[in-house]
Amino acid sequence: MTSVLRTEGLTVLGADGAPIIESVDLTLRRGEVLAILGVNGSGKTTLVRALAGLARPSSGAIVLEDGTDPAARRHAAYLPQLSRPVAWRDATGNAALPLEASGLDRRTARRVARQALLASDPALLRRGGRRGATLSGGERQRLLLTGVLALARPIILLDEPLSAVDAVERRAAQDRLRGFASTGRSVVLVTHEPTEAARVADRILVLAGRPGQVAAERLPPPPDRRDAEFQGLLADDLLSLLAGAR
Amino acid sequence: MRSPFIRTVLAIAALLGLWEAACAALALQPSTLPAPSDAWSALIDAQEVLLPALATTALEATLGLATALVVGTALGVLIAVARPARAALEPLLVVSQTVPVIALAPLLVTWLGFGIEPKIIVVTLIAVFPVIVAVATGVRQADAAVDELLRGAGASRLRRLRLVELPAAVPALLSGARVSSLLVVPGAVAAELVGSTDGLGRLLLIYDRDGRTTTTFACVLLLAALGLALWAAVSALDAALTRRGLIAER
Repeated sequence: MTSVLRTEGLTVLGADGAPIIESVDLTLRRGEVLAILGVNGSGKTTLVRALAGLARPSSGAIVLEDGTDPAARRHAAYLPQLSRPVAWRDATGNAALPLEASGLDRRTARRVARQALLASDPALLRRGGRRGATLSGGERQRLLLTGVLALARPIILLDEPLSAVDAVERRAAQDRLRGFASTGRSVVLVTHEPTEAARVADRILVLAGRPGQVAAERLPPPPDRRDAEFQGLLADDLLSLLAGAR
Repeated sequence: MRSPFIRTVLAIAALLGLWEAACAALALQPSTLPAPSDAWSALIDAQEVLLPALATTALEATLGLATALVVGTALGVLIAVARPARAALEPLLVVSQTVPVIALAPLLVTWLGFGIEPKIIVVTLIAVFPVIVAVATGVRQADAAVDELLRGAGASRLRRLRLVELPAAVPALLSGARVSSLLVVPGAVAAELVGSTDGLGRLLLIYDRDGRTTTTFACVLLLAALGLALWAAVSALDAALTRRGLIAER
């Protein structure tokens, strides 16, 4: 498989000048879901922010195979870890936010967001007119995830996108991520859930230590050939890696 | 939503009733302290003079408040988003608050004459500071995660300001506007006292000099009503936006 993005010795410093991640080498391939697994404080968010062009590397490089500059922020659809809903926008308006941010006008962004909701999460479309202030944390995550995925960009960077989503919708969203990968887009999924990584990821990187470094990589058989028992064993393996890396 | 307004009206009515009763019980002369009913009669008698003066003062206060909201929003946003602007403006603004604005009023009259322009400037100077502070705080309180989302999608600085930071600052702007709405009527009157050809402040001077205590109190009642009306208008706007979910409840 061809790679779309790779990092070479990527090091990012925190506000205090100490490195948060150090010498991270990774390759993201076309059409795969790459899970980045790690305990709290292992630098997962810093790594994915750097991949999004939001955190400047102090040394090393992020190389996009199409030759564009990650700092231009046109290469990836990025969903950060989220807290509060955008109160003054309705549900559709929240989903349209990433699209408007990318440059679409308000009306087009809303239309695209509505179509994306209809295709992927119609239950939310029924709540389209509700104000952001009345939406739950999980609904908000699903709305912004839909909006971010609707950005037509080859790389999808998701920072714990399903942490507040209920079990049923989480499974549906995981299947949707597999669907995106099968159409040739590349997904980086930051998670601290071994079971999630064991279910959806083609490859799994375990980030550990302070500063965070790649401590282990797992390349299991493709997700559609993993049965429940294998997923369980893989999750146990990942959990023991996390526990050992603390 | 309406109950705070009704409570305010009831409290004012109770205060006026108490005042009326005290004047009657103590048999005070109207020239010492007129009862509200005396002031009301004086208001009716002098309405042809008082109401145009009220209109002038109301115009000064409203235009000053509007100017303060526009200028304060612009400066507040500038301070919040541009570090050089913050470094340059913050000390100036702090110093500006230590100068009694009313001390500038004679100068403004010298420069601009006895019309309403110097009054609007005085009112603006008094009312702008709460707006600047509120807007600067509001813009900086915009959700950091949403800002990351917009930046990750490639949004320009201006677009981020328009999509998230400005809407996020609206509740703070309205809080600042509520504070300012209480400052503008005293500001307008103070400016009129310094030198004017019109307005309730000028009438206050004349009636006080002539010993017309009752009519002086009629002016005071009108000024209180004007201040209350401005405050109620800003509060009603705030409540309407909150009720429609356009701004978050505080």
